[in-house]
Amino acid sequence: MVWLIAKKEIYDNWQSHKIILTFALCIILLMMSVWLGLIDYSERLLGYNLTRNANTFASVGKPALTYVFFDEAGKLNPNSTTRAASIVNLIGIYRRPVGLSILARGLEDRMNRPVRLFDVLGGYTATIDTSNSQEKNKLFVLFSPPDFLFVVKVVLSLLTILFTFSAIAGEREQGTLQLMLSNSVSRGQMLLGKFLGGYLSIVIPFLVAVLIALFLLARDPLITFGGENWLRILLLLITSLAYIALFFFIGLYISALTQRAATAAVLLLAIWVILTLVVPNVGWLVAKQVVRVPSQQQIDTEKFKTAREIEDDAERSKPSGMFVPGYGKFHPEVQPQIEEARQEIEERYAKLRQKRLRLSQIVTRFSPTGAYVHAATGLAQTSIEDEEFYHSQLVQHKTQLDATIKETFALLQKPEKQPLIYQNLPQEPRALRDRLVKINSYEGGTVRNIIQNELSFTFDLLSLPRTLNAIWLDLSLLVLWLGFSFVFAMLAIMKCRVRQ
Amino acid sequence: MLWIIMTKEFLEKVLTLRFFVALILSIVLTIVSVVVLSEDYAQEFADYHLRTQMHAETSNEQLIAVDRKPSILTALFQGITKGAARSVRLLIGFQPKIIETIDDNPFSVLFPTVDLTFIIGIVMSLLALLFAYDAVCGEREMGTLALIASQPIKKPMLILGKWLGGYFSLILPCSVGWILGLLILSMHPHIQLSVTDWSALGLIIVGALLYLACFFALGILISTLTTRPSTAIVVLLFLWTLFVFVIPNLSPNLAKTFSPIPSFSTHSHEMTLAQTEVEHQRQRWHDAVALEVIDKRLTWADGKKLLLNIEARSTSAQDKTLSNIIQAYHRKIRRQEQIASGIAALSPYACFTFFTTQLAASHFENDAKFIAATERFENEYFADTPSYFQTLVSPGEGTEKSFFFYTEPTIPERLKLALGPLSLLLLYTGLCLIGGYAAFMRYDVKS
Repeated sequence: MVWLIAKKEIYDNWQSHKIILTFALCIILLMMSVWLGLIDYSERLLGYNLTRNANTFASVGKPALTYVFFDEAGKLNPNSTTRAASIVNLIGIYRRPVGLSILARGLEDRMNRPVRLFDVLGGYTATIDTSNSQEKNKLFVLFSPPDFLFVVKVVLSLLTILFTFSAIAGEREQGTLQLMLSNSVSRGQMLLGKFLGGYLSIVIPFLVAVLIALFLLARDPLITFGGENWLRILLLLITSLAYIALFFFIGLYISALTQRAATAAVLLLAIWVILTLVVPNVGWLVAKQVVRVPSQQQIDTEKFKTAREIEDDAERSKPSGMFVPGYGKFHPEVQPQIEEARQEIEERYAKLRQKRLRLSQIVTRFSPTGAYVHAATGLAQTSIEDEEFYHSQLVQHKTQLDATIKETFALLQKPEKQPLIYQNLPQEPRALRDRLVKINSYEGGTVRNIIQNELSFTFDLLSLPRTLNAIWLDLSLLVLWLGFSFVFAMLAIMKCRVRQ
Repeated sequence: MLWIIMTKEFLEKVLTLRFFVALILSIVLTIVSVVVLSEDYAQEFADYHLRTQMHAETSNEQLIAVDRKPSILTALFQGITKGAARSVRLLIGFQPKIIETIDDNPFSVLFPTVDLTFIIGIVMSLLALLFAYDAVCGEREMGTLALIASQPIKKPMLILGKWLGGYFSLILPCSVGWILGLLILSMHPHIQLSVTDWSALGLIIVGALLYLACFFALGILISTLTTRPSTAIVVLLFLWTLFVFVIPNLSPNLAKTFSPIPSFSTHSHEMTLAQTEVEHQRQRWHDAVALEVIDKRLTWADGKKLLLNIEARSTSAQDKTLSNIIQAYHRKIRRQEQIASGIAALSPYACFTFFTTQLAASHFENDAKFIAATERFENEYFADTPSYFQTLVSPGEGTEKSFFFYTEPTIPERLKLALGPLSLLLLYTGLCLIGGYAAFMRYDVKS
């Protein structure tokens, strides 16, 4: 009997062209998103490989330079021996683009941006700078490209509502509900039949489209997914099916509660707008009101003021002739102190930011869409947790690089450690010339080698157990939503009126 | 008779659940969004002051920074505000450089901000369809359409009455939200709306009315083409998804396949190569100077001049090479953006977005305009200033100059750019109206 009802539902849906529309939308959208995503991914991968190879020789911006000067008497002046500050300007430290980002873009773009590690005006402290907002088609900001996640999150949840709003209310209006229940069929069986029939009508077109899209993905030579990635895709698919199912139950619940199908449609669309579009967006707004973090500009101003104070103190004790545009008076000796102060300010606010982020995550989870987005991006390795992991690795990388660069320059600057460079420079011009050429190539070579070694750094991705650890709350919330919506749908159907 | 049908249509809608839902959604969403966004704007404005102060302290005659003043309209209709340039640094002899700000909000990527464009463009257009989907086929199903048609009334009058009555019942909840939002905005203690703001807001409301009319007309059209309301709503939501989520969102990627540009990493690789080339050149110059110093036994004072000369030469060579590459890249991006806008313009939602962002000066063209303006100003400002490296060799006296404040385009200028999307919206609305009219003329009113 359950199967009979399910079959009737499927035929009903066929007749109203709902299935054809679903097929068309799912196939067009998913294939387009995977096809365009693959093009985009291959471009990003190409860029990544290019930059990675290039880094090995182009990364050292300005190798150390040695100058030797003479005093009025024509003698070599050891004090005037100066060296231009070596600016280690590494453009483009990249994380390898993640293949799964084709399915759920998430924060991938934020992590794919090149990272510049550059020094602070002659000090050798690397700074992480991840911003290059200008260099892309701005329409991507206005209209974000649809990926698998978007198709499920917005389009499929909407389709689900279309499949359910008239499931009970519509049949009651037509009088067929009464006829159906006059047969020897319990209400529970009817719910099951309706669910099976309706759910299969959505899920079969969806799964067919997904299989075609996954086939496209697997066929591409660029994609070399191991077992773990396929497991992630499987989990993503299961999560998506649960997400669709819970919207299905919400639809049945409202349809059983309302008298007319039109009313059910209006209520359901309002609920859909609130759950998928409004509540997840409100998360950040609420968190912002509760945890007050100064704006980036306020933090920057504080850092700037601190740096100026330190520089002014240094200026009072020992005036410097250096003025750097955009910075002001400059004292090389206080740079480490300034950097320390800056970091201290940054760390102080990093904690507050973390708190704000957590709170907004909690609020967004109130909506199944929020939980689904967190879970799906987690599985695709493009979530907030993945970004945090990436940042922690960057900081680690930066600290390592920092230490190596500092060490190297300290070595080069110690008089006793630089026999080749400054000690016993010959007075005779030709000998000095030869020596100087050697020195330049020696120094440049050293720094270059060090940077080269450091660049072999690769970023790790969160492993599946760690991902699951990060998203277990979202997954269990989805299950909870599913359970609640099922129970509510069940109760509503148990007590609903069947007569017209 | 027209009046009777209009009032009947209007009252019928006003007394339904969907009117109530529309009213609540419109009021709550608009108020929350206006309150939060104006709060954001106040913060942004305070930041702007901090920024100008900081930039004033670090400026000298060779280096200045120009800041773009935030406006309340860009806060309400965000457009590309998040990625737009806020400040530009101008250094003599160099191309303007955008001072990047770090975006500390990962949520804006996962869940887009609910601004007024979102509320009108997505939520209210959905409401428009809900108000229209059963206007014709619903009445046919109930049999009332045949009853009305039996009255001494012409079919054009009937559809016009339905159209106007339904449209006013849709506009009522929407405009209640807008009026409340405007009231909150005008009572905000820190926000002063200028004449420009008011007129832009007025024009945006006109655009919003047209946009909703477009979707309402589409609803009537589909309602006339179908025989059952449940079919009508399925078809309408399918079209709505296509117009609101599919066409605009696919457009940038489709434009990319038509007019491909290298990815940013490839571009930055090209820049690195060019930079390295210049760097090698610099190295050779430096070696030459070092040898000259040794050969001629120059003193520090003389050697310094040579060195600074090299620095000046190599930095400007580097800047020129890099800015050429960057400009070529930006030209390609502009072209892609234009193609993408063309594709997106097939959807009324994208047209409405372009219209509001042009009027609110948050369109991506406004960003390019700001940077171009700073470039013009730079050439003028530094016309007779000695360069940085020159002053290091022989410090000169700085002269006082009048500073430059960027002003957003005036309303007529904005309107000129917004006319394109506006006329497309008019076209779409007209097509739907004519289609609806034609379909109703040959519609079978019997159930």
